[in-house]
Amino acid sequence: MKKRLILTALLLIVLFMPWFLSAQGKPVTVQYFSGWNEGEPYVPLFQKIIADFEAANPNIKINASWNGRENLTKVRPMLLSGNVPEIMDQGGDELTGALVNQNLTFALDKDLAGLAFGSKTTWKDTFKPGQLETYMKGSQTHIIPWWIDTTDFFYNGKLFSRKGFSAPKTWDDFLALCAKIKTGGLPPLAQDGGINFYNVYYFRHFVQRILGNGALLNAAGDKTGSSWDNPGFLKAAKMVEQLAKNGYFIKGFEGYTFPAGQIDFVKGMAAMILISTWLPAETKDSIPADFEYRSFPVPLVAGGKGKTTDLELFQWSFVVLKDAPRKAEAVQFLKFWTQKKYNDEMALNHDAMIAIKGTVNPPSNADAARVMDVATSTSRFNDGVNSAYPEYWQAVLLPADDNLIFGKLTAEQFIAQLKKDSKAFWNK
Amino acid sequence: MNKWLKRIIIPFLAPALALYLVFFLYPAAQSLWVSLNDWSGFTRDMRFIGLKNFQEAFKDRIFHRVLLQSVGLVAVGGVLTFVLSLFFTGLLGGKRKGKAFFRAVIFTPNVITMVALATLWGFIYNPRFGLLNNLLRLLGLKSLSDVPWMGPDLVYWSILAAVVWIYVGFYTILFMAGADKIPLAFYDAAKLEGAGSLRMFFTITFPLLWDVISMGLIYWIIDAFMQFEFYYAVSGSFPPIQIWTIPIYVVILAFGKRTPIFRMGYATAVAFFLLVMVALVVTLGRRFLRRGSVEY
Repeated sequence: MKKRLILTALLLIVLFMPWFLSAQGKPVTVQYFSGWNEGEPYVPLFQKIIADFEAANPNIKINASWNGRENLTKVRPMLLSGNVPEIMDQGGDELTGALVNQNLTFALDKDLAGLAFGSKTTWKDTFKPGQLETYMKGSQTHIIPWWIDTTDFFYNGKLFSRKGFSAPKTWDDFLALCAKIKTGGLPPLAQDGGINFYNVYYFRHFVQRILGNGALLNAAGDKTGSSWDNPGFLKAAKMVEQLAKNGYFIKGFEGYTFPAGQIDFVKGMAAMILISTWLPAETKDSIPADFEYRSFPVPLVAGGKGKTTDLELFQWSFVVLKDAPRKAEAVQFLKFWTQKKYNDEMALNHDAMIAIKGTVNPPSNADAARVMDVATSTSRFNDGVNSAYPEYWQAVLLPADDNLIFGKLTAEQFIAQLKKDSKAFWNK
Repeated sequence: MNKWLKRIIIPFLAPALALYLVFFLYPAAQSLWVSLNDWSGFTRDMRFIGLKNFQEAFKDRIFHRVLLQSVGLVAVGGVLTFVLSLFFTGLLGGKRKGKAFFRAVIFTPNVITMVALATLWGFIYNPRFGLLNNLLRLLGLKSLSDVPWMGPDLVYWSILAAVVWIYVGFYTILFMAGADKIPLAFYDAAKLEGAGSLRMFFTITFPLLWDVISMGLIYWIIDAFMQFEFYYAVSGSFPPIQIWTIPIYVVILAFGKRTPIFRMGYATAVAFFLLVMVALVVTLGRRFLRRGSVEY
């Protein structure tokens, strides 16, 4: 009897051993839906991060889908079929509009309270001030920012040195500089007029300098349209009008198709460009030998509430999806990703500013990064209007702003149109 | 038809019918259902709102603008494309030296991908180093050479001109194929009667080509309403509102595209509206473009 029992036990062990071993050795898979295309210059670094993580964690496999900007389109069928990927990355405003606002993402506050990878500080404390807070959902953190951008006036440092120009601090200094540059025969400002959300940078930032963060968002959401009566908006519109009227934009900019404006700028055909800090990454293959990326924040407006250290943030961010099966492993991967060596490599090799403290500043964005380190406040990209009221943004604000910057509307007409169209939009 | 034949038709038609039902009618019916809901496309939560999306489309100023722009493309682009195509058909008709070569040249845009054509036209219209402005400069037309062809005032017409350029080759080839089938004896007889080229074109080529022209018109209407790739690519994937077509508007509403709108229900209503409109125009077109008999 005993012999028979031992034999049966042995037989069972032999039978089930392969299954047991394979179950033990089989890695779990974390699906990562990336907003990058495989051909983009940063992707080899991301692939290296994945490979390093898999080597350090043989029980976890990262299955990356390089979906590019179609990421949110491609995730829809996955969400509907219940095959939910663990991680997605994209702009914070898009992730918020598409996923966070629809309760599809996972609150990461508990994980942020845990230790960062290879560190004795909490993950939360590794982020620069204001970075995690910018896209918070109430008191919860769903968005993990990594590659961050702000908007600055870029100029060629070498050209400015040669001509004896200096970066202006106030609006009056800025106007005086534009006049001086124009007198010297160079258009002061390049602009990709074909991109309406680049054109609105002027009005949006002037509003911030005059009325502070949130003013544009509040006015956009005002169903009566009467918020636009605030004289600060008219003042901001007049500033845009002044630039257009004085002929400070490069000739024909309204017909520029991206990236003609920024290429003109790096080729020295205009002195400055108001654009996000992704400019160096996009133009580094086009710059001539005597070019040095320098930038300054949108100047101060006398009597205004906004400071030059109030930063607008565009955050390329990660989210962990709520219904994904491997959330813990996903968080483990994100903590691994946000460690210093990869942050530094991204900053140095790809001109990126990173949301994590202690990351080296990219030389081509050194001016913006210095301001980032001492930011007094942060605000969402476009003051959050495009993520909070996307249709209003497309239908009301951007078309009116195009007409203002192209000189087709006066500042007064622009405000009147905003008021009228806002009322019509919200009461339709 | 005998009973046996009737019985055998059903199993032969069934697979095709099943495929049609599953891959066309069912999705179409499903899209009609989606258009009656408020739905982002990210979750299964669809909120039934009846005809509200359609009511909204009737009040949506952007949709009205886009619709007008699409109708403009159908009408103005259609007239230009067909007049030019018929002109080239007349010019290259009959036995002419180098006909095959010109036919190949004029058809070339149709074998090039739309993205490549869009890049080409982007260069042509570039305000600084563009082919068009440089040509105008060479011709001494200084004032015209500073025109921002892709600016808000002209971009619609600039792109329309490019679209006409692309499609003229296709319709010329189509019409030439039809014209080649007209018996040469008609032209010989007309010549004996002293008819000139223009008269022969309007009394022989045009009426005998009418079936091909009307089919081409239907095809153009569908094609013009569905324009997407060229418009999207020529603007560096940031199409300004001045050149939005209905499909571009649908994509922006449904898939965000830099602005997180994600209104799948409303976008489907607009797309459904487009489907109904195209079907209506095509049906009316087929009815009114029917040819009577031609007698000589």
